[in-house]
Parts: sequence; structure tokens; C-alpha cells
Amino acid sequence: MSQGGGKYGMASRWDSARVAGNIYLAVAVLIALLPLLLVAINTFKPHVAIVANPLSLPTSINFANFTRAWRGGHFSTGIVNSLLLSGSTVLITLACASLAAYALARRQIRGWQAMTIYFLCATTVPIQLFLFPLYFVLAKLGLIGNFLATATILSAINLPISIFLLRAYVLGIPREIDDAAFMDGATPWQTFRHVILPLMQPGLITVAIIVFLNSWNEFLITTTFQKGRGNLTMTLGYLSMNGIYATDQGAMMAGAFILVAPIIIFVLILQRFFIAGMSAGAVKG
Amino acid sequence: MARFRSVAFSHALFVAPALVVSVAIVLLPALLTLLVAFADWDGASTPTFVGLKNFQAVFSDPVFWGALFNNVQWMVIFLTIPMAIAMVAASILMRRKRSSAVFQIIFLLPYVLSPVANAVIWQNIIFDPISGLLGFVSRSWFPLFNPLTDTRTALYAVAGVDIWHFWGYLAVVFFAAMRQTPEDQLEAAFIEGASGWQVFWNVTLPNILPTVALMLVLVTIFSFLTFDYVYLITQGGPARSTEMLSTFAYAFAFTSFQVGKAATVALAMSFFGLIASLVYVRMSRSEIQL
Amino acid sequence: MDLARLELKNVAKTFNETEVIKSVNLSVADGEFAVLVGPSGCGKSTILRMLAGLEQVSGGAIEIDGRNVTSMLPLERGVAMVFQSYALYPHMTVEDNIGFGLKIAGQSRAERRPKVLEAARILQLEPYLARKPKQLSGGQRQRVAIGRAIVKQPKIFLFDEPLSNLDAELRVQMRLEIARLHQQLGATMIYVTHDQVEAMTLADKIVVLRDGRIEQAGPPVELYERPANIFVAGFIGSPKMNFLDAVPADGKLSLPGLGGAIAGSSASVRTLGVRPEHISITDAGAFAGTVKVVEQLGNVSYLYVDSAAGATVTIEQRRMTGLHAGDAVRFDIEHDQIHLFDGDGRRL
Repeated sequence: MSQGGGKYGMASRWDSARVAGNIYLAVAVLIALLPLLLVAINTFKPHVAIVANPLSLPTSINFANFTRAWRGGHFSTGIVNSLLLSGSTVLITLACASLAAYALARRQIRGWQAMTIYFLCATTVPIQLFLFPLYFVLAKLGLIGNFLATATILSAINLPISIFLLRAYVLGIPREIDDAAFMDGATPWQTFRHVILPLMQPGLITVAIIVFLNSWNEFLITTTFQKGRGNLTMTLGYLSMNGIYATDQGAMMAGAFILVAPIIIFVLILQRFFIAGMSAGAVKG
Repeated sequence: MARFRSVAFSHALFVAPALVVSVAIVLLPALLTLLVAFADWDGASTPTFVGLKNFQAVFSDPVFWGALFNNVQWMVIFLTIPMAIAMVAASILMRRKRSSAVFQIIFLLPYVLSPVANAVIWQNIIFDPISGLLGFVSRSWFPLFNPLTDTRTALYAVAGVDIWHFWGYLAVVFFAAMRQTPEDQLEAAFIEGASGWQVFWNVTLPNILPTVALMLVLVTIFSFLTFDYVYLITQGGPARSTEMLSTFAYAFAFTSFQVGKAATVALAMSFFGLIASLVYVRMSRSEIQL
Repeated sequence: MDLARLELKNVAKTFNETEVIKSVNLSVADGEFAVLVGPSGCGKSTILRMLAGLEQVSGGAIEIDGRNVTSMLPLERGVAMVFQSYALYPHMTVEDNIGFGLKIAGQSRAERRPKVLEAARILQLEPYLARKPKQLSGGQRQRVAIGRAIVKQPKIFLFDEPLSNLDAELRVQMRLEIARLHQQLGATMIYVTHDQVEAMTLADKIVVLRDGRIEQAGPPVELYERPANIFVAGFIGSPKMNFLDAVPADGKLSLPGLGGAIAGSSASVRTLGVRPEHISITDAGAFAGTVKVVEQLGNVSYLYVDSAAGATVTIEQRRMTGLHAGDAVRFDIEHDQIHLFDGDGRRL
């Protein structure tokens, strides 16, 4: 009979605690989604209609806003830049982090403790602590706007968390398997490539997804190091519309839609990995 | 003999790329920042050593203390409000396991969007006095002022946007932690007739305490580093009321090109987060089997 | 004289300043099945891992066929290992598991296949070649682990407690398979276990270890009938040998715990050992006691008897016994089946 109260307690569907809980969740959902819903409905309205009443539903569906937003936010180059940047960041991060995670998990290096602590500290380092000299040095080297440079910087930021996530995976692989590979005549590289790496696969996918999203959404480093019109990512491209298109909210909303919709779809499809990755990094005990 | 020398050597090579990248991009520039704090540098010409002049200038600047105060306020806000909201939501979800997946992903949406997207959306469709919700409500029903333009409320408005962005993450983390509470402990408590609140306080909470502690530490650290939302929404204004240490430093470096002062503020930022970082490292050591 | 297949010369191992293996000397002949046995922490696994090349040797040398292999890699030495938890590669099929070593040595699929098939045939794994380890039973996984070793055609097989993870029934079955395998291949095998039953049934030579030292090495019968000290005497044979304090008196051996004496004499004796099957219940027995616990296994029974003088002895009786707890009994000790040990526990 009691569908609501969970396994414990014979709370009926209508008791006050349950109703209160439902109201709380409903309000939370509303607040979480409200701005996004506003974007969705206002994307199809002309500026005048938005100003008149942002809450009203669109009277007709037309994509005029999208065309203007697409041009105004330079999204054609933006999407390519974002893909390039995020893709490179993922590759660099995975390559460095998977190797490092294996080496640190197996503890065969003298000084592994110091290195592990270093990366642990690095997860909390503020970007401003290294940003300024890094910028001016790279500027001197002419590397501002260089994708590989920016991707490497973003990798450096994502490395610590990636290393720890992947390290946890390696720790789950019994050392006996390393021993067996050794008895089979495998060198450390062969052991890594043929045995450890395939077994790390779920971890690699999770890290790839998280790093991809982080670098796609990233602001501080991207805006500092990707200056220059042709270098802007989608995110920065949209930002450049702000203020200029203040009197064309239709375009602003369409731009937001273009920026946000793919991310939402991406996350909805891959939600398992996000939730797994977030919990892994944070849940203790 | 052969195994160990070559294994140690190979593994050292394995860790090298990550170390090189991290040292080159984070560690060395961080050390440079430390040095630059004692120098006068515009980023292009050669720096000149000035001793403690930057520190004196920065610490006697009321804007610095205002920014620091803002960071502290931010910390207090984030240690309480989003944590409480998330905790309650997670507890409620514990009683609705079947639908929890749907709720989780909805709550997570603001978190996975770019700060640029979030900030611009809120600026334009919520806060904007002409096109935004606030403006509409103001015109139609009762006047609301735009909190972003008032020096007394601007910081809280920006914090509000970041709370909207962040609390979903905490909810997911707390929910995951709560689900790890051993079933038998919960059963025992219910059999003894404990109410929902008592079960939470006596069984669930102690079990998730390590996670909560970790989140408290992380929030503390990041309160002193927070940059994106402030910079995007108010740039530190109006009248420096939302200035944070991070935007203050950024302005020194890229607006007035006084990189020495920027470095000084950056050091101050790191210092305040440092204690919390040490706590974080300490806490994590046993977890990661160090 | 035949060259010993394997020779350990003064092999020692130190871990973090603790001497874990203290100068061990051992010879194993070609085709011999040697079992390293002992309580936890005695160092048997460490010695095995040193033989494999998984652990560094701190002192001494390992020789195989007269060659010093102490600093060589496992394949160079010609050894292959079967791990306790099999250590199969979870993401590879049985065929790939067995052939992995050959693959990374650069052999093509065409070269590998016949060798893998041969190993699979010996172990009856042919129907499982395309399966992954998680689709196999414990016994099958064990065989794949052995197959991985066979395919390398090693000079020496190393087994690290291979049956510990199996249930009792499977353990007996696999024990027979390993014995059969040894006969079939005729290879030298070094086998580590803590189970003395496995040692007794499989070994050509048992090596009993304690605290990093070899207590005794020899054929099972020798260790059973002529244990070199109290430790080996108590370790080999189940149930344990009975140990009684013994004092020479009046040309006989007085056994205070039993309140009597037995024929025999030795000036330095301190302990007398006698196995349960060498004590018999007779009405005219020299010693008296009360049965405390009776264990009936069907083919044999064990009686735990308390003597009035304080000692407890285990007595074996063939088949089922008619005795019960609380019965008073008298028993005799076969005086030519006793073992005498001095104050340091050594055999006299």
C-alpha cells in the first residue's frame, strides 16, 4: 500500500513530510530549470516580444534569431576552435595522466610519495598563482592564440584530478597481473600497453568526458590565452556578443541556446560517467 | 636485478610527461610569481627588484581589504547556503530512489554549463531591467531593483548565480555518499523507532561526515579563488563592491600592467587557501593510500 | 653425477633491514617435484618469487643447470609461474591469455596457435579457448594459468599456493591433476603450500621452512618417520604428533604427564613424541586416562584422552569406535615408534 515512504516507515502517500519533500524538489527543479526554460521559449521570439513579456510563449517558430546569433557569435569558427581545443586537451591529458597514474599506483619509483603529494596539492592551486608569468612568457614566445599551447595549459590544470581518478582504477588491478605479464616477458611499456591500458578503459572514458566538458566550458585560461578574433572558442564567441546585442535579445537567447543545447544533450546521454566521476572524486569513507 | 632497475626507470619515464607539463606550466610560473611579487614589472621589459614595495602598496590599499572581505563573505555564504540546500535535497532523494536519477541530472544541469553561458543568461534574461524577468516583474507588478547595480547587494546577487550553478554538484555528491550508508545501520535505527530526522542525525550524518568535511574544505579553498562569475557579471563593480582578490589581481596584470602587484595579490589569495589546502592534503592521504 | 636442475647457494633476502630469508641452501634434481611448506611468514613465497625473478636476491646465488641466473629475467632463466589467484588477463580470451607471452615475443599468430592448442589439449581447455576468464569456473581458470606456463616450455615450473582459492572438493581433484601433469610432462616443479597434505601427496622432496630457514628437506617418508626436530615432527602429519615431557629415570623414560614410564633411555632427552596411530587402546595398557572428545570420520576415529597426570594425548583408532566421552581407557605406546628430542628440540 505504501508506495511513497521508501522501505522504512509505513508513511502513506499523503503524509505531510512527503508532501513537503515533493514541494521542495519541485521548487528546486523549477529554480534549476527556469533560466534554461526562459532561454528556450525566448529563442523563438523577436526582441520586442521578449521585452514585453519574457515569460510568454512564442507565437511562431522561426529561426531568424539563430542565423543572426550564429553570425554574431562567430560560431562557425567557434565550434571548430572549441572542438580542436577540447579534443587536444583530452588527448594530452589522457596520454600523460594514464602513464603517470600507472607509475604512481605501482610505487616503483623512488620519490613516488613526493610526486603524489605534489599532484594532490596541485588540485587546489589557484590559476592566478601561475597565470601572470605564464602569460607574459608565452606572449614573448608568440604563443598566444596557439591551440597546442592553450591545450597544454588546460591539460596541466586537469592533470591532477585525472591522475587520481585513473590511479584509483589502476589500484583496482591486482599487482599479480603485472607479475604475470613480467613472467610472460613483457617490458613495463608492454605491460602498460597490452594489459593495464585496456583494463583502465572505463576510467579513460570517464576522464575523457569530464576533461572535454571542462575545457569546452573553460573561461579564464581560454580568454587569456586565446585572444584574437579567429581564435575564439564557441564560449568566448558567445561572450563577445554580450552587450553588443543587448538590443537584440532574440539573438542573445538564440546564442545561448546554440551554446547550451549541445552540452545538455551531451551530458544527458553520458550522465552515468559524469555522476560516477563526480562521486569518485569526492565521496570519502 | 634486471627487473627492478628497468622497471623503476621505465616508470620514471612514464610519470615524466605529466610532471614536465605540470612543472612547466604550474610550478615554475608559480615560483616566478613568488619572485615577481618583489619586483616591478610591466610584463614586457625587464623587471626591477623593489623589495617589499608591492606588499606595502597592496596592503595599504583599501580595495585589497575590501576584496578580501568579499572573499570571506563568499566563503561564509557558500559554506552554509548551498550545503544546506544540497543536504536537504539529497536526504529527500534518499526516500525516492526510483526517481532520483531524473532529479539528479536536472539539478546537475546548471553545474555542467559554462560560467559564460550561465552568467550571460542571468544577466540578460533575469537581471536585465529591460529584457529580463526582474525588469518585467518590476514593470508589471511591483518594482524590483536590479541588485547588480546596488553596491550593497551586488555581491549577493552574483553569489546567488553561483549558488544556482553549484548546489547541484553538492547534491549529487551528498546523495552518493548517503547511499553508501550501510543498510543494516539504517534498519537497526528504524526498528528502534527512530524518526526520519533522528535517523538522519544519528546514522546518515556520521557516515557521510568525511565527505561533508571534504566539501567544506574544498569550498573554503575555492572561495578564495573564485573568479569567473564575478568577472563576467560585474567585473568587480559597481564601485568595487564585488571586487574579489582574483579580479583585483587580474586587473593589475592585464589592465594596469603592474604584474608585481598582481603577483602580490595572487600570493595573498593562495595564502588564505593554503591552510585549507594543507588540511585537504592531510585528509586525502589515507584515502589515496599514501 | 647428474647436474642438479636447480641450486640455491646461500640465498638470503632482506626486506627493510629485516633478514627474511637467512642463507638457504637447496638442490632440486631434474624432474623432481619439490614442495616448500611451512607456516605463514616462513618465507616460502619469498623464495619462490626469488626463483621466479620477481624479487631481488639480497645475497647468494641461484643456479639453473649450472648457470648463475641470479640477475636474469624469468624467460632467460627458463622458469614459468602459476599464481595463487591465477592472475589471468581479464580482458583477453583463454587463447590470448595462454599465448600472450609468445605474442609479445614477436611470434605471429600462425606460430603461436599450434603451441597454444597443444597446451590447451594437455589441459583439456580446447572448448574454452574463446571464453574470457570470468566465464570460467575456478578449476578451469587454474588450468588456463597452468597452460600459460606450459606453453613457454620452461625448465622449471613454479606454483604459488595454486589450490588455496579452491573449495575442498575441487582441491582434491586439482591435486590429482597436478600430480598427473607432473608425470606426463616430467618437468621440474617447485610448489609452495601451507597445506601439509598437499606436500605429502605431491612431493618427491618436501622442504619445511620456518622463519626463513630450512628446517628439513627430504622425501615425505623420511620427514614423516625421521623428523629432524620438534617443529618438523609437529608440522608433518595430521593430527599432530603427541609431545610429552620425558625424563630419564632408572634406566627408563619417565613420562610425568602420563604418570608412568616407557622402555628406553637417553641422557639428554627432554621431549618424547609419538604419533596418534602408534598409541593403542588396550585393557592391559600401561597408562590410564579419560576420553574427553571423540571424532569419528567413518574410516578412522580420533580420541582425545586426558590422563590423570595432566597430559592430553590424541589416539587414532581404525574405523568407528565404540567409546564415548567420559569413558575410562587404558592405552599403550609402541616403544619402537617413539621419537626423542633434546632440550633444543633436535632429534636424538
